[in-house]
Amino acid sequence: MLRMSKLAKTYRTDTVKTRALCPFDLEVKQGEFVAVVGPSGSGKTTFLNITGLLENASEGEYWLDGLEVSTLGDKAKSRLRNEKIGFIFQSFNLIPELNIYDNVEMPLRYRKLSTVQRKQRVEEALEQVGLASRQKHFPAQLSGGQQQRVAIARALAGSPAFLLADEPTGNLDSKMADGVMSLLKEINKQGTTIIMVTHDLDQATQASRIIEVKDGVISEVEHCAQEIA
Amino acid sequence: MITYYTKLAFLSLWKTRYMSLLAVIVIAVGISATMTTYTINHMMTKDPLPSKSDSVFLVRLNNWSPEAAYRNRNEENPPIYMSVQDAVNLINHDKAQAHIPIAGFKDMLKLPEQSAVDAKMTFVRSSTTDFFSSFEVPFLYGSSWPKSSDDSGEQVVVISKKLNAELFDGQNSVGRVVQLGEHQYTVVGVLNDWFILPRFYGESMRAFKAPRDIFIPFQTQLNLELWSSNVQAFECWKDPENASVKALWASECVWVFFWVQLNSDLEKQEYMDFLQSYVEQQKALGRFQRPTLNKLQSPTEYLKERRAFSTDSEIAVWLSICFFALCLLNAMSIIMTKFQGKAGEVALRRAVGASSVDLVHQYTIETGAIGLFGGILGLVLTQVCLFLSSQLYTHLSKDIMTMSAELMVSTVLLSILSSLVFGMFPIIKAINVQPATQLKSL
Amino acid sequence: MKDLLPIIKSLKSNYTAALLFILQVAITFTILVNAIYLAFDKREFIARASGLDEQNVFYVATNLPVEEAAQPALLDQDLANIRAFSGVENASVSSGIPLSGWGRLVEVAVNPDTKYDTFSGYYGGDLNLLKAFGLELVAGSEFSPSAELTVRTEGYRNAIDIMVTKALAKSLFSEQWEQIVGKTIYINNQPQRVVGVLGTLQAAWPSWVVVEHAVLAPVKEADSIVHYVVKTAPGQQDDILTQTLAYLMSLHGRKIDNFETFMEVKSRAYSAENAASKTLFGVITGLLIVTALGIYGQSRYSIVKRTKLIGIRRAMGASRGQIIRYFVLENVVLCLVGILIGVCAAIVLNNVFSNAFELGTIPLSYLLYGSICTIILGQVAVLYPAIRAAQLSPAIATRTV
Repeated sequence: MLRMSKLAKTYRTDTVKTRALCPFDLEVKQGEFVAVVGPSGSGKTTFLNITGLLENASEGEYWLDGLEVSTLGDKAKSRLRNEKIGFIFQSFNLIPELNIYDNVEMPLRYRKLSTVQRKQRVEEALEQVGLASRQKHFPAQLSGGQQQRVAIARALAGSPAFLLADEPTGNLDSKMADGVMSLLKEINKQGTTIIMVTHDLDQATQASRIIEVKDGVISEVEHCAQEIA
Repeated sequence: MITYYTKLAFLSLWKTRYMSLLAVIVIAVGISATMTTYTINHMMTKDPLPSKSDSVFLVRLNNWSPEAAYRNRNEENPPIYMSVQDAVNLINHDKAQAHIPIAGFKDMLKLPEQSAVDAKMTFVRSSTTDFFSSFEVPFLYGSSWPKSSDDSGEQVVVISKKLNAELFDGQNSVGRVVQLGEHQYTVVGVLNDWFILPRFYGESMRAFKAPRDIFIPFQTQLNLELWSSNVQAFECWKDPENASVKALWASECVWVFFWVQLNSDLEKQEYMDFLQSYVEQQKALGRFQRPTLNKLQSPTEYLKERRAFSTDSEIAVWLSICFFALCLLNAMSIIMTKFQGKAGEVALRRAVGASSVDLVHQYTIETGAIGLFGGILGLVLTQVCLFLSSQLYTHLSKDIMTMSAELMVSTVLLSILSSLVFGMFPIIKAINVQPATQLKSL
Repeated sequence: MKDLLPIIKSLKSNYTAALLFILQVAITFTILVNAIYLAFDKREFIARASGLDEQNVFYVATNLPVEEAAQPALLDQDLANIRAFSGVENASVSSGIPLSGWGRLVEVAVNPDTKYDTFSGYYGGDLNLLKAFGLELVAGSEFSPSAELTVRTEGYRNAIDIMVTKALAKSLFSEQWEQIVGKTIYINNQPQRVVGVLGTLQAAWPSWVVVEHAVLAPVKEADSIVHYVVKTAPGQQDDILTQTLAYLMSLHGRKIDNFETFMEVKSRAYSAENAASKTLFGVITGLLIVTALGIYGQSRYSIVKRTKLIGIRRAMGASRGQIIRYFVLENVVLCLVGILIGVCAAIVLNNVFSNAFELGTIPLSYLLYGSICTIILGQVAVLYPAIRAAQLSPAIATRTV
């Protein structure tokens, strides 16, 4: 469902040309749980931004569900982001002045859905993360773990093809982090593809596949999750 | 979608309420300065009688000394007023739709039963019944006097609403009697509120004062020989025969403004032809020994020639427009600051799939709301400023300091429109953030 | 000065905010200079001397309710009685009142049969009018008693001796204006001898081009309405006015047409200019407040945005003074650029105004004072945010936000 071939990213300033990502090929299949690991500054975030259509690659091809997306315009990309991709961020990125319901509903607002349809989907998503009773609360009234669950519900509400998670547990203590991880695994089991950036190797090993980014070079790491499980 | 954006806009306005309030106030101050000066200038320079601006004319005849041009100007220009005899002759020839001499005097006014101590020195306007019909003067009670009163010089008056309130407690006073000097007059009509600005028909120096409060037929003034030497300008190139008022009426002294109503170009042309023949006939009698320079002048032309419009009000408008621009720039930087704090939200919305057009819509509604509130507050401030101006500009009629409904609506529209224009740049700048750069540190 | 380079660099990186700031300063400067110039122009216009003893003169317009032949005698009697009140310094009758809008104008020529050289206002009264107005004689002598005449109206046709104002004398004889004394000039083509020159006496119309031109003649006009001019001792005006009115009303048939103190006349004459100058000062005040708010807001914002940077500088050893100096200097640089643009804009705007509305050009000193004011305004507005910035703790640098 996601295929990248000879994709690369170069940043240019007036004087310097920096290669952020060397050309790489990658294919992610439906239902996979991919962990992306690597030290900071290695190019993880660039990889995630390109995958999430937030940034353009400098060269190469990016096929999403059979569509070459690297040459699409702003409107088409926005639409793809809205319909196919769900984002989860390290710092949750909830809008403080909106309540939980409105936060989860946000991506749906950019689709042509009736009020009833939106309501149904929001409720389903909140049900899935176990926060159905908190619709009217505001983000500040929730714990960090709960906030991240709301963010996950927001990502799920649009029933995306895959989730992109950028250090989803980075701002949480270990207990809450475990809860979020098991929620993600649960979601993955139900068929949603997940690509997760993390620097926590423990978490990475819970994924079905690990990719390492180091100095802009992307490589597959063989791992033995099966055996551990 | 609109409701969603409106909801978001109000949430965001509330979140940054101090900054939003500041922007609203700054816009309101700018717009009220502009609208106050504009209103005053507009009221001073507007067409006083829009329905009649092409059909009412001041008649000017070149009646002056054979030896020198009027006021000795290099480019000879006839006097703005005429002699009593010419005014009477033109009325008698009856060649125009309406004849409106503008004359007057002042005298002590009271009710017949009041004692002399209660009498008040009052300016009296004398004209014909055409004055009220041609200048579209509204009546509260009664009506103008009949044409026959003009011909016979009957002792009748029309009084203003204000004077009616003073003398008769605002009751219908038609049929009652007032005393002016030694003469008694019967009230035939009471005017309703009458705003005519600029008040073009008399002396241009008083164009921005309210009309007089009492009107009598021109012929009555002539018959009763009522004259005050210090009410209006009068100029004589030749002395009257003697000091009597009768001699003044028969003299070449000019002081009566004379307006006519002519409904078409054809009528105007015919009237010019008539004036030509009238002057020629008078020349044959030994009068009008100067070149014939007959003129028919519209109210606006007349006011322009007399420089009735002070340039101060126009300068004030330009200065306040500059001031408004400054306020808008100021509001723009406030809005920019406001939106800069939104970089994170913009990035997030972009990430979940809002296109830049979606965000432009959302923020345009927010800026528009600032403009709307600025406009409404500005409107209130404008009313305050106009009230203060009416206290300060004592030399102008209070009626200048009023805003029409159109002006009020345009105030708010102008405010919204200008905030949108000046908000465009901050919006585009806010939306142009790279979503990727903002999401980490939101 | 070593701060200058980093300031310019940082402005370059955030040019939109800087540009907005500069534009605001430029517009403020443009309006400020023009508005102040206009306001002072009005003030000067209002402050012109009328030539009268302004605080102590009033006039009453009244009729002479006797038959025509007896009017001159009644006039003299009235004046004699008014002069007899204690506290009255002098009283006279005048054919016009300066600045009141009520008066006569005459044509003045140096030679007979020429069209005219200039116009002038005209005042006719008895011999006391000079003193009743409180005028100053700068050349020649007073009227001789034999020159006094009484007529019914249009006294300028009968005058023999006259006085003219210095301004009128100058317009006829330029720098040799004193030579006008003793010469015969032509008032509405009538030959009249100039016996004295008055310092100042304004005509009846404040906005007239030749408002400083006036002719004074010892010719009383006993017309249907006469204007009595009364000069009182300081502080006694109100009492004398009441006494005069009471005296006048004691005669049967008397009508008081109008009465005003000269200060009232003057404030009426200049009400438009007065209102305009007040409005302009209002505009200036609003302008300064809005601009100060704008500068304050922007400085505050730019400092908040650079909080971490300031913390780092502090941590690196920058003193509070250096931080304040940085922002103050930045403000000066921006204001200077704004003023530079503003000077050009102000001159352009003034040109447009002076072409369209017959105004003078702004003197350079206004531009200089305007610049100083603008810079002070900028400094005042930036000072508080800059001090707040300097008080930031260096520890901010180590926080991760």
